[in-house]
Amino acid sequence: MNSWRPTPGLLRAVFVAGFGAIAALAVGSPAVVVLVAPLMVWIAIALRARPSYLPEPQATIAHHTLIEGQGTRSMLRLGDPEAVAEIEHVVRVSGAAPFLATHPANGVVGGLAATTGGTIELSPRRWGRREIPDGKVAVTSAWAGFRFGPVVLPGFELFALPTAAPFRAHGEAPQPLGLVGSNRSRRVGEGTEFAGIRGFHAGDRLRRVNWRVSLRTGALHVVTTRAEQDSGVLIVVDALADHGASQGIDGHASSLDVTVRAAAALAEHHLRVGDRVALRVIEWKGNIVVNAGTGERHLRRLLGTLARIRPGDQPGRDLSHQPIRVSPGTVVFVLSPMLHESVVTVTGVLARHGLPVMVIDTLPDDVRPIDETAGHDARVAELAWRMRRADREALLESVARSGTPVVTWRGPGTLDEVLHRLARRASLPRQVVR
Amino acid sequence: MRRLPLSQWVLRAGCCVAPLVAVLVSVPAGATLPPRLFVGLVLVALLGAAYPESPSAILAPLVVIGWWATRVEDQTHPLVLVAAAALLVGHACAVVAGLGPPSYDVERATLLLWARRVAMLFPVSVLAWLVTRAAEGQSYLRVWVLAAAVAVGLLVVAISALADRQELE
Repeated sequence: MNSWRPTPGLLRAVFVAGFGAIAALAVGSPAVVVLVAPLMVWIAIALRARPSYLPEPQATIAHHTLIEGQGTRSMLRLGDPEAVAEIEHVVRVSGAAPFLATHPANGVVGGLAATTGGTIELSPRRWGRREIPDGKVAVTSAWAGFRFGPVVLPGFELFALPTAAPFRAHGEAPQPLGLVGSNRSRRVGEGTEFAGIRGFHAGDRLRRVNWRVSLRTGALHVVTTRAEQDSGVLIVVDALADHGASQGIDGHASSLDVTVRAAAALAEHHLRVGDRVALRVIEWKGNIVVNAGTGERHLRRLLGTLARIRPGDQPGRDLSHQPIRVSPGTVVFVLSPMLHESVVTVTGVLARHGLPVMVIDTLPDDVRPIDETAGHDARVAELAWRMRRADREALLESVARSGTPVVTWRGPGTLDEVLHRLARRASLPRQVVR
Repeated sequence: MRRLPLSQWVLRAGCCVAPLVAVLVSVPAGATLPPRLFVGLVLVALLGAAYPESPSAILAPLVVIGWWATRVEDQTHPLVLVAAAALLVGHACAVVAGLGPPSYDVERATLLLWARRVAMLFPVSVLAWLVTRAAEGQSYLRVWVLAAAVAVGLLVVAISALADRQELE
């Protein structure tokens, strides 16, 4: 259909007008002349407006990478200005894709070429790679005499980064061991957080002298402060499976939705306060590792890695032996629905190395992982899920018994209390297995 | 059909109702409308409304023309103008409804453009009707030579007047 062809409307008008003219002459009916005369004029005008240039429709998109929930526009270019000038009407149909909202909702946009332009608004409703399938476009000449198309518009790809779930934490890092940062160190040093008052030593700065205490005691005293250091953070993401149905950013979240958005929130929070953040994604096909880094570019890298996560399809491999290299003092957040023993083992290994490890449970309460409409017996599915949850409770208990705190992700304040407890525990003597 | 947008419902209703109106107005002009023919016309009109881009959409206008050509006694009755307007509106509705897929919600600007076009074309019927009224009572051949000349003249005038398409918009 890559050429201009008469529309069915033009062909119908030609046939009706021709039949009418013949009937009028054959039967001698003036009324028929009155009936078909406007159609004859319409045919003449439509034929005169026959286009001579071929359009070259192409779809372009303003942004290829978005954060889930954001929107962009897919524009339509119709070719040379000479070809565009001959087009009166455009209709474009966009292919539908899961978790992709379009405006108009049915993906069909059209109108006069001079005003509409065939632009469709798109918005990915869930993180990940969204492949927009091929679309179609058809244009008609003036008076709908000729049509070009429908021709296929090649599909394209949108990359949706996860939106960071609302999150803030005021808890201090348990073992900050970096150079410069905002976390209060266990060491005394050049910071702003008050640590104590002691007698003056040679080398102390004069601005540290506490004159009130010095006058009262009769000897020079200085204020000591905590050093401020950056902390290392490792985010471990369990991407072995996705439990529950995801309805995108506007609806119900699956376990992987919660995991990925929580990981994005943690990464964003810790990078904002100057910590070094590393990421480890546990997948069946192998771990994805993003080494520790800081800054906005590193955040984009982490979000991109999170957006590329796909639940694995090779269950059965033992993943617990894959080494995880972590520098001392790194705070480890394990985000997982805790339904697989490998993740529990990984958590235990990290904890035995003396690292402050925290498990963040990301399994939604009302999750129903088995689709009851897919031919499964609902009662059997319910029973299986209850057994699975019972196993999970046992796994969580074993994790908690090993001294690793487990918290349910609930957004802001999720980690505060646990971080305080870990910081207190970090100041105590401990046994480290190497 | 349930998922059609409102504009498509309206346009398809126009496709369906227009041929019925074009035939019904012939009754005051002296025609007797058999119920069977009317039911048949309803069916083909519905078919044309359901598939305005298909060849079946041609049936209803052909029935209307055939009816007026053979069954209406008063050929120059003023109500033929109503039938001509209905036929034109039905054709325009089918054309606009067929501009896109059934789920295409035709926007206001396109509807207004085609409404203006229908309004521009309808005077052609009025002119043709005036010519036939003027030629009423004349000999058969003379009437049709005159009618053909008027039709060709109208075509030439219309094409010349609409040479620049932009002026229409």
